[in-house]
Amino acid sequence: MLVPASSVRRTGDCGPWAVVVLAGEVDLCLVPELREVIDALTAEDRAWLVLDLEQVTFMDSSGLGVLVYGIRGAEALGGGLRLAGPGVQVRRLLELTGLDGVVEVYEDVAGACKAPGQ
Amino acid sequence: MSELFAAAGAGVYAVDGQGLVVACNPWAEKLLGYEPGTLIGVNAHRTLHPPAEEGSLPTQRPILKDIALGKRVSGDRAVLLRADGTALQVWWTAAPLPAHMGHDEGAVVVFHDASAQRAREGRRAERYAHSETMREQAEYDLAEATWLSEVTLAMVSTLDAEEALGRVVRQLVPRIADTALIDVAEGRGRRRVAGAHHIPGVLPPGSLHDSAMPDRPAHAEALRRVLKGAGPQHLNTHLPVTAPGDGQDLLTLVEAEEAVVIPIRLRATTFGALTLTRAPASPPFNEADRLLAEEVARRIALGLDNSRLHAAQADIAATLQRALLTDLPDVADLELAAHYEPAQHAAEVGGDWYDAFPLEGGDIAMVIGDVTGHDIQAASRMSELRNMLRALAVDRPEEAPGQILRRLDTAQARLTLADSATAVLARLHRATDGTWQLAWSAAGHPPPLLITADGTGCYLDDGHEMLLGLRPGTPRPTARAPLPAGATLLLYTDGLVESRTQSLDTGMTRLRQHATTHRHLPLPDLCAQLARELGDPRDDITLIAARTPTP
Repeated sequence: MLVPASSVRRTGDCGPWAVVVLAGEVDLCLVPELREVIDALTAEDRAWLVLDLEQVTFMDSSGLGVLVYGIRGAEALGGGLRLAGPGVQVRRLLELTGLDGVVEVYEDVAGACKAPGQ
Repeated sequence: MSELFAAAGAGVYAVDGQGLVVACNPWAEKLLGYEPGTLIGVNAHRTLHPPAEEGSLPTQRPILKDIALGKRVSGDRAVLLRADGTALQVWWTAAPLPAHMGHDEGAVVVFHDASAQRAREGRRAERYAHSETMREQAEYDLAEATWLSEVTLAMVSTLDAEEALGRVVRQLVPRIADTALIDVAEGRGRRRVAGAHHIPGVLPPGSLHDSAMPDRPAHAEALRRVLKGAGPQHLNTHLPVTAPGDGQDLLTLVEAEEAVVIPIRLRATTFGALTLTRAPASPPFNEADRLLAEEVARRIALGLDNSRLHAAQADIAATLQRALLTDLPDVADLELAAHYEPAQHAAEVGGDWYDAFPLEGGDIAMVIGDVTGHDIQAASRMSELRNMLRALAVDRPEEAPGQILRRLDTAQARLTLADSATAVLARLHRATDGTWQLAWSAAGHPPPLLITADGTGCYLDDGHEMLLGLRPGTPRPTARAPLPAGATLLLYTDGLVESRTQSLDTGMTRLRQHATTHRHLPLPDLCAQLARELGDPRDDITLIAARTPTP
């Protein structure tokens, strides 16, 4: 099986939404980098975040921890965090941890950016 | 290897069985003042060696004879003749040509312009400053960089330090010595952990133990000095003939004519000492040998440092974790067992916890939890959360598990104890009729598994709310169910059911099947068996189980 390299990348904005693209395994190895990106966005007062999870193959509890960290950071600025395109494993993890009732999940980034705010 | 051959600094030439030069590197030609290509075919013995002069290379024949026995011969005071007839001071090493090169009984000679070194002699104070350069020279001079990397490989190929040292000493003979011994510092003393002689069987099994074969007092003293911080010690051990009946010491056994004791040291830490000996039949240790031996010792020290660091890190996290996982209480009419297995890689250890403690009125609280993250910080946050949950549960025993988890969520948000965590809190209550009742609340955690005596397994999906740490104050449900006689309740962390290669649902199905199959096992064995069969070794695996008595 070809394992894609895990990465975090901030891409161009989508309206008011800052988009962060994650790929591969979101685990302990990727956590410091992801935290850094979230911290940088928070420092810029970016309150509206979209995490693009389409290329994520696996997320563990460490990755989930940063997700919670991102949600808290965005909400503290009066904004929010949305997820785009999570696969089956991530969806199941969101369900198990009860996050599916808290975080808005969309098919893709375009959908996440278009949807009206709460 | 060809790069090594061309490497700056050392001259290398190879001779066939007749002493004719069959190959050389540019440095050999340069050092000896030959035009490129003109050294090939020269009779090394007749042309390069000054006739019977004091300090010249021994004649070719004895060298070839010695190395035919597989020995490496070397010297640090020799002279080679340049093309213009002037003398070149060298230190040199000769070794047999590998058989596949097609020159039977040939030899490769590596030499280095020693005039600069001679100038340095007598200025010992400066030597240390040059030691790095000299080490590199020594590596090239001896054309043994490959061998050194083998030593390093032997050292790092296992994280078991003693096994690694055993491999290393076997690499050292006969390349650098007839006997190699390694003692490691232990407390205020030392322990011999590895030894090898170039002839198998000379060191009888058990001879490494001090009681089996005492060290000669001078050797013991040299070891003591080195372990206390002294530099390399040199022992000239001209042997007195051992009187009959005298206890034999190790140096006598290996017929050591000469021995060096070299510190295995990194920065200020002395890990131990390397003892090398040579018998009278072998050439004495020269400067190049000593530099090489010091380089070997340095690599051993690096390897030991590495394995100790690794062991220390794994130990700290695992020890901390184990210390935090307390013994289970003794409960009448209820069996409890738990199992914790740290992740294989130290970096992944930490964050999981289990707990069980008695509440007022004979109830039992059972907890499983997982603080996000895997490291020593996660382990310490876990301990804070675990202790807080204990306090909250004991403080208001009348509260249901959901209410207690809600207070935990609020408290941890206020105190920012952890980014987030998942947990199950269960309460086992024994009714007056002797039956057990279960009440539980899950916070973002995989559901408890209940296996009944008749082999039915089901997950307790109710009583579920989101993980802790995101919406403090969220009301949390409590679910209730009877625990029939002979039922097994299992709480576990995701390491048991999910991995990169197995979905959560597949893992939960397997867990239910395996737990049902093994339900007759004694409870501690059941936990261990499930961890072994299902757990992802990359993650911590934690389980706690309770079993009600059969009537």
